[in-house]
Amino acid sequence: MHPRSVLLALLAALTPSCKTVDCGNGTTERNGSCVASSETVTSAQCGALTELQGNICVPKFPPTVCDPSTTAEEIDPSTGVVTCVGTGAGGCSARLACPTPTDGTQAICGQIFDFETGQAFTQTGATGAACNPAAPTSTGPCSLGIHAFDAVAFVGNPMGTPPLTTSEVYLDDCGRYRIEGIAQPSGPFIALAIDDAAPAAMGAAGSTNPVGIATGKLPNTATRDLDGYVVKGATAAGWGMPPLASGIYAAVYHAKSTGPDLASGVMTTFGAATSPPPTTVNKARTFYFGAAATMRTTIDTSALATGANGAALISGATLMELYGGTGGIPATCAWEIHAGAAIPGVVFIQSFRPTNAPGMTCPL
Amino acid sequence: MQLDLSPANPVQAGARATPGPGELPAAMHFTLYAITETTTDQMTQDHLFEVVRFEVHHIVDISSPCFIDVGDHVPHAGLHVTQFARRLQQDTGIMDPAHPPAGATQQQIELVATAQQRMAEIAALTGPGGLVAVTSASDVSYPAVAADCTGQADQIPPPECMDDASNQRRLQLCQQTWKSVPQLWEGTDRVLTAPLNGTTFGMVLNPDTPITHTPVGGAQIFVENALDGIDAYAIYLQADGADGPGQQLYFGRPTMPTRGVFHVHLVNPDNAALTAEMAVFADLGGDDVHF
Repeated sequence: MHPRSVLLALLAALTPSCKTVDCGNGTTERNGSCVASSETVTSAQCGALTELQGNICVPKFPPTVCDPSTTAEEIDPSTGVVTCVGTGAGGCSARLACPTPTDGTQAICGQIFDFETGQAFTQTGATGAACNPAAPTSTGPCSLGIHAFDAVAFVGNPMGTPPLTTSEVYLDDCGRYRIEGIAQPSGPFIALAIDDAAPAAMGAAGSTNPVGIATGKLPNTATRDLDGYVVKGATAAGWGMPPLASGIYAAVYHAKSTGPDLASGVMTTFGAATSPPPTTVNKARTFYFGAAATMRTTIDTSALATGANGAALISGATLMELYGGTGGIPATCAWEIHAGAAIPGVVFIQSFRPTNAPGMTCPL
Repeated sequence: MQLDLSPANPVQAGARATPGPGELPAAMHFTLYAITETTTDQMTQDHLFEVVRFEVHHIVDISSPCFIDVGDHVPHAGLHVTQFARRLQQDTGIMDPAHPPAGATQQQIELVATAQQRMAEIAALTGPGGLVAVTSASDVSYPAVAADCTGQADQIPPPECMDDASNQRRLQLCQQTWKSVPQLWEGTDRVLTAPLNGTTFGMVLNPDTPITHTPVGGAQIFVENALDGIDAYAIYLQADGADGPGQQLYFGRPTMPTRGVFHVHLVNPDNAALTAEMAVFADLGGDDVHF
């Protein structure tokens, strides 16, 4: 045998195998030695239909299983409770499923309303059928298109700001919408721009004048019940003040923290973005409808606060300011504070709801 | 092992900051346990073996008294980074680089403009959607912060103290702490993956990072445990200094290995939307394609 081969054979015989440690139950190999476990737990405490996972007992079966052909899972991120929301039938009164994303994006869902009447914007005889975005209708919800934008960038450059990436944009003939997979913008807010889908009907023509709504960016969150709006071009032009050409920021004051009830007797407040809360009332920049008017068609130049329809139109809104409200709610409540901006040719609509005043509990 | 924590994974608040919505207190840690199961007479016994402890932090902690500039290449070693722009404004006399005073040089203007940009980028990196690091764990805190710039020698000057003496004292006390506690993590915005102290294992998944808008994610951790016979894995949350594993955050079982690599899909027991993915390279010798 060649001397080099002898050396290799000897080396192979002396070299230990890769696996030299065989640890018994309750121990494991760590850095070549067997070590005891940090904790040992038994399933003695686990009840029926539960099993031991680590040191806790968990149900063997998921608490909720949604039928994938008729429902969609909606998980409440704070409680983990799963709700099966129907994906068909139920008509316009059924809630639209709005699943929580887990990939860092955001979902936004809600109902589109006619700003003029305050009623849900639905097609006559609506059944909840999904719109076909490739073939928009000439009227009703299925004539609309919705795009998501970085709100701050959009205010600075409405024509040159590209839409945010999204996955499905769902609309149905009940006026319910769902936008999933919204990529997070660099700014703090996401704006939804609502206008006619058909290029020829965009702008003041068609079902709606361009309308904007906004909400905060929140990755891995489903923002539900965000009210969208349509405003007919003739309606916006008929207000006269503030001029649509300069952009209108519209506030809708709701009487409760949830639900559609509207608040009367509210005056819009203004303040610098650097020194919240906004407390100044400026009648010259705020326009209200009549005290008893339920339709939002005619401005009452003598009105000093919101009427029955809860709305105010504001001129000259800018991101340098914040907007809120005063009046119409108990002292234990305060109006939400929101940023806003006037974009030429656009009606930007913001819902305001009562919230806890500092150190108080708002019952609404 | 490679651990991919989802963007929904909870993040720890800064060392001296009040936890914000969804944030965990600073004095906590995560522990990855490997679990072996034995079943006798219908009784299951789980043995939990601690594999590694780690923490999850915003990429820099502006509330930390030791978030400082360090090294020969920085203009003011020991300066708290939150005061970087202010100090350069003071050095150059330029408050607004767009409207510099007469006599300001181009280099001075660039220094202040760059400093202001640095502050803006730190705000973006630590704000919503910012970067989150998976780091080494330590239950040691920094020395106390002095009430003002003339505090005791063993107290770290407050961040707003940016004079040379304060910077020097802050540098000395921070480096002294770091030397005695190598696991105490302190990040820096200068090199995101090279912390001032401790180890950055990697990042929490983020599909759209601020500034560059590139996706990042994945943490790599080398461990001493042999992980080829493990039945399950769990990640727990526990307050520093407390006994027991704490609160279970994730649990998952390894699936069939592919070329010697186990995949573990970890799920929160109460919230199926909270997940993490883990790959365990337990036996690369089993990869007959690459090895």
